[in-house]
Amino acid sequence: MTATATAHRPDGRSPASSGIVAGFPAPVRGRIVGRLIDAVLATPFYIAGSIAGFDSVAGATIAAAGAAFVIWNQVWRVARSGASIGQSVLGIRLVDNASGAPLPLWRCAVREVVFLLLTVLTVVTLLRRDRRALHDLIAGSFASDAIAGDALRSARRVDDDTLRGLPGRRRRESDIRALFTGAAMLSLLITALIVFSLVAEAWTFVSNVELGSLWGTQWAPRFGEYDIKTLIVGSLIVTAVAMVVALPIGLGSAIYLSEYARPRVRKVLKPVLEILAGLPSVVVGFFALRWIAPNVVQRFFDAGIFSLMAAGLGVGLLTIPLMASISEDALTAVPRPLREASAGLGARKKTTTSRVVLPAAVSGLVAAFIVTVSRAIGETMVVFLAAGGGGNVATFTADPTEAGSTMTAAMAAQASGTDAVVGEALTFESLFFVGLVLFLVTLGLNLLADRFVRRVRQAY
Amino acid sequence: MKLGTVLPDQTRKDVERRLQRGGIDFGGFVFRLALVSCLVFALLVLLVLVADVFDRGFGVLTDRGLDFLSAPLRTRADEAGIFQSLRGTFWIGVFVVALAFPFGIGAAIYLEEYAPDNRLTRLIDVNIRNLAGVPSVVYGILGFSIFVKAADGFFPGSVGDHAGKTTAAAGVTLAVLVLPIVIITSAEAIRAVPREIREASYGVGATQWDTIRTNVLPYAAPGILTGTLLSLARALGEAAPLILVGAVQGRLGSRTGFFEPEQLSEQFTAMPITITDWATKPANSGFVENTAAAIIVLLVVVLLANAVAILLRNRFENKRAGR
Repeated sequence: MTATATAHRPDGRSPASSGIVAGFPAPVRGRIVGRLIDAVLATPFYIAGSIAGFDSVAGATIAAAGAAFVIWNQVWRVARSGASIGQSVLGIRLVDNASGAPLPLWRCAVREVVFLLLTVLTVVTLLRRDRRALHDLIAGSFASDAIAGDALRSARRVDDDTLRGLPGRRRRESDIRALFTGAAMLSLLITALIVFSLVAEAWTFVSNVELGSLWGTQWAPRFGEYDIKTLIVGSLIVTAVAMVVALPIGLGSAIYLSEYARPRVRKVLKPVLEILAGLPSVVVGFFALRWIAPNVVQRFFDAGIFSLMAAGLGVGLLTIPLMASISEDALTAVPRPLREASAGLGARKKTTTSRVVLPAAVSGLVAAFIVTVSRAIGETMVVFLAAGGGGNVATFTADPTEAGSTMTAAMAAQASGTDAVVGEALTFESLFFVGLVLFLVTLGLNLLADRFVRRVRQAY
Repeated sequence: MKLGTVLPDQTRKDVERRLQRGGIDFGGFVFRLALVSCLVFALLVLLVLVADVFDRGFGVLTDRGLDFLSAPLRTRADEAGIFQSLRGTFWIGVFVVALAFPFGIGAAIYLEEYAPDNRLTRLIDVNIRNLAGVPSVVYGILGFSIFVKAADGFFPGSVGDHAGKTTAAAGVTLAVLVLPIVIITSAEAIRAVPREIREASYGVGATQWDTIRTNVLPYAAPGILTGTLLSLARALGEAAPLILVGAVQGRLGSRTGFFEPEQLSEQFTAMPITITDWATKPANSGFVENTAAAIIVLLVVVLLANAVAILLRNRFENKRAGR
């Protein structure tokens, strides 16, 4: 089925009346962004190649693959469908300037080569009404606005293709979808890279370390003493102290915000927690070292300026907002009818809260607790500054008032101070081993928390 | 008012008292007071922290003013400034904006608008939430063993001990660190866009991308902006990964100016690193005051981003609610 209609642009001009025959010129901004997208797509090859080194076999292979990709994208695709991925996404179609027909392969290649050689001269684009740049003039091409062109065609002739979506339009949609898919896949790549970078060196450590050096009295990687229990106990102490602060304060705040506070009060108080959440951990570390240690820890305990307890209190402050916000989410997820039924039976607000709302939200609250513990274990800078974790040696201690170190702070300490990680043979690898332990512990906790969260979702 | 005899004595007394508005719910009052004091405690700690930092550091800022911001790192406290640290933090911010924002928002668009409900999508979803929970210091290892090596190959000039330990490597590391946060917050904002808006757009013949570009993204923009600003603030305050990537503590040449892109292939330091370095110097060296002053500068930057984000969100929440 075919029908005809006259095309009207808002400004009343048709391409022919402005002396351009091959369609509407594509906007210059879009063409620049399209080039950027094509460049970004090729960068991973370049980066991977430079890691491997372009003079090695692997590097050369990656470079060849990259070149093949660029040719496929910017020449082959352009000849076949009129647009590279970047151009397609931005709605640009390259056509022959005289006829509006697709460009042959060799002219696409000429156009790209000229562009590469004379990139700077493409500013001429801005001077011409048809927006043809130097490489367009040489290759006889025209960058047309595919969207406007398709709209014009659809308006002139209605057929199966118009109803289904013109091929260019459909290809554009699928290209855009592919780009976003790639962005999402990036997260899998990141996880793979993290695991890859941890496991190889950690394995070297595990397979070469003397078992005797894993059990001793101190963590001193530069002297070949890897008493991992020093760090684990340190992490546990800091986390425990932190939870003594964060659990009640965070939970209490969450209950108040979700059950008691009126909207206006809420609007004033909630940002307090959010600002607390926004504090950089070095700032809290400084506060823990210079204020909490002398004014709290040393006042009540016989402790030095550096102590695991001061660090734990600092980490506690830092994790209050996390505990509060996840708990609040769990509490607000409890359906309103439960509260109303309880009030209807004559229960007081306090009874409703503690006997109905809290038990109903318990899975979410457990999840909040686990996530907070995981965050506390992963906190680095507060311990680095306030517990004396910045030193090269940490002696085993189970006393919170003494100085110590945690897994995280030990990693940072090992990488700081000198320009390179130096010391006994396995010093460098021990960093990765601790990192792997830390990664696995927090991963386990997060997965566990995820399970509890899902239980809440299923229940309501 | 007399109630029937059906009720047991104690209950009847209770009910009568309640009806006559007598008696106070003492337990409830204490409970509520305890809850409020939790929030008040948080507020107090925040106030004490800010007051303490200002008390120590404000003098340095008023005495030295611009000199503190424009002087390079030095070993004498009264001459040392934070020029290179501000420069490093600025460039890290550029990387986060240029990398984490587009890829993060892109991934969020995929997850909310395109992704089919299958195993792969659920894997990506779980993976992103786990990435958000990975300790920042572990990202430091990623930066150290991947991005530093990449930068070493990427910038042919930098050789020797410092090879690859550049601003670029640090920027990419922190962009990757906040990527999951950007994805999660953007996805939340996109999810909140009402279905009717999409359907109306499809109804007038728009394609999926047209719909996303002209309807979904503008509607979700305030939410996305809030999330991205919060993650930018997070990146600017992060120190642990930078230590592993090889941030310079102590002396650092300042060959390049603030905005010169040559800085990307140079060694770097950043505000949180300088704060860490100075905070551990002896208490009477004058560096404690410098640290506090540097913290004030960092807090102004970070809390400003936070405040703008929170205000934006509140404003749009009101608008949507029709107030």
